[in-house]
Amino acid sequence: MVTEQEGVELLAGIFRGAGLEIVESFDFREGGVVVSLDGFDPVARIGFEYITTEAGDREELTPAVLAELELRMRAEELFLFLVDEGDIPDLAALAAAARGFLALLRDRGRLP
Amino acid sequence: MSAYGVAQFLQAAAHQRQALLHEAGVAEHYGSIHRQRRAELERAHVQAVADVGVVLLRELTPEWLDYAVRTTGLAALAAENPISMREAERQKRRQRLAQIEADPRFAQRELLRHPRTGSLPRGIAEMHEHLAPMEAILNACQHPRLDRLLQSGYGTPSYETGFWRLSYYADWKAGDEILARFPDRQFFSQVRDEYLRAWHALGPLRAELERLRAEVAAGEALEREHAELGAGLATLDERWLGHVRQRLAAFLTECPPESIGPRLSGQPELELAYKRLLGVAAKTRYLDGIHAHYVAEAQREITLAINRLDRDVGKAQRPKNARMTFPAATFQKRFRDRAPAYGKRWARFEKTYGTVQGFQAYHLAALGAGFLWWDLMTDGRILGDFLPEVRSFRDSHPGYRWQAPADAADEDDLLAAATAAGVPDDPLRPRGDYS
Repeated sequence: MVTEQEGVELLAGIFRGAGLEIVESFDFREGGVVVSLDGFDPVARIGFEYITTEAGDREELTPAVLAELELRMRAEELFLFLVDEGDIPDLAALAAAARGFLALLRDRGRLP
Repeated sequence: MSAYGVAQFLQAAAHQRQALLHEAGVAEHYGSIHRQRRAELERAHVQAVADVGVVLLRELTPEWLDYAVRTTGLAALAAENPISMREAERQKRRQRLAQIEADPRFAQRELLRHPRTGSLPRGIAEMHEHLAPMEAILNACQHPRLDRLLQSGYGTPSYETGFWRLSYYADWKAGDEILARFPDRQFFSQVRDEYLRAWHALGPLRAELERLRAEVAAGEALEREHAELGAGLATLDERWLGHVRQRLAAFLTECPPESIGPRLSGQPELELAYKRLLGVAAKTRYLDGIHAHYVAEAQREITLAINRLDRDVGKAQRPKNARMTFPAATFQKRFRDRAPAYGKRWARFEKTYGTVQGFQAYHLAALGAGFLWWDLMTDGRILGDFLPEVRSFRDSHPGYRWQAPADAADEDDLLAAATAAGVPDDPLRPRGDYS
């Protein structure tokens, strides 16, 4: 099991390596959605959220909040890499998936 | 010498242990001989049962059954009517055989189940041929994430997992891993379609395979039943004859000889067979008792003595007991030479066992109320009170005195002649070193 701290450190490093200005514990407040994101670049509007029980994320990121965020992502208003701790076998798999996410954004012209 | 030291104790103990092991070897030799003799007697008893049966009931016919019932007094046998029971079994077997032979599953067994040309084995082979490629597809698709890929519609337009979800990448990886097993397929959707087609077709094909196998099993069960019924029919007369003979022999063995004996007078062949049946049983009991009294009991004593010796040797060898002494009287009593006592015991055993075991004159038995097989077998020369059966007889017949039958003189002459001729290789006589 990858802990909240390990996951966030890894993702922040990879996202910054891709040229993003990641702000950790970003206070996201838009259109009724109020949530603290693990990492977010407010200019590029790209970030990540590592959802763990340990950090109490499930209380904040309720199904309704996640549905609202997904709606915005489908409209390409923002992009959050959503990771549930239960889906991660190890750090290597998490890193590979994060790089895949950034590559897709690059393909879409959302990253230089 | 008024006392002995530890060194002398240990030396004497080692010597006595060796002597006890030798006696244990002798006892084991006798035990082995007894087991052989007992096996021979068991065979002799089976033969005696058969002999009584053959004389009493040559065939299972009403006439012979009537004779056997009148002779033995086993009226229950007439009431049971084994002849009608035998015929009922014959009828039942024949009816079932006819049913089976009329059943197409049996009648057409070659057409249906011949291993190469039968329609069922061919059908099964065809099913396997159909199943093989489908099972190959299903096996090739085995993956921990396969169910998730199928349920989420991965590879189809209905797949809705966003690329921002980690599971999107896990699905992607799993899909690629499965696709790599199908080099002639370009997209996962093609593999998915093949998998689903195979999966849907597999159920009915497997059900058909099971149906064919069940048909084969049912037909084979009928063939086995037919064979068993036929075999039972072939041995029917012999089995029922054997069964009734066994009943008769068991009855004769259980009844008091004084009630059966008079019924058999005037039928010398039957009387002799009956006497041999009882005599062999008595001989078996006696030999068991003689072995238990002289040999098994000695084995128990020897084992206890060796254990005690080992325990005391262990104590004497402890450093704190190095200066221990043993009073002369106790020492000499304990380590006395036991060979003469065991020698006497073995001699008594050989004499008693050999006498009973060598007895063959069953015809001399007088099957009255005051008859004791033991005395006939030993000619009244060995008391035998260590056997509960013998002691009980003597207690319940206080005025009893053994009288050798008149014919026994001739037997004695024969025995004397045999003794004079000698037994060059008497298996009872122990040889060699048993220690």
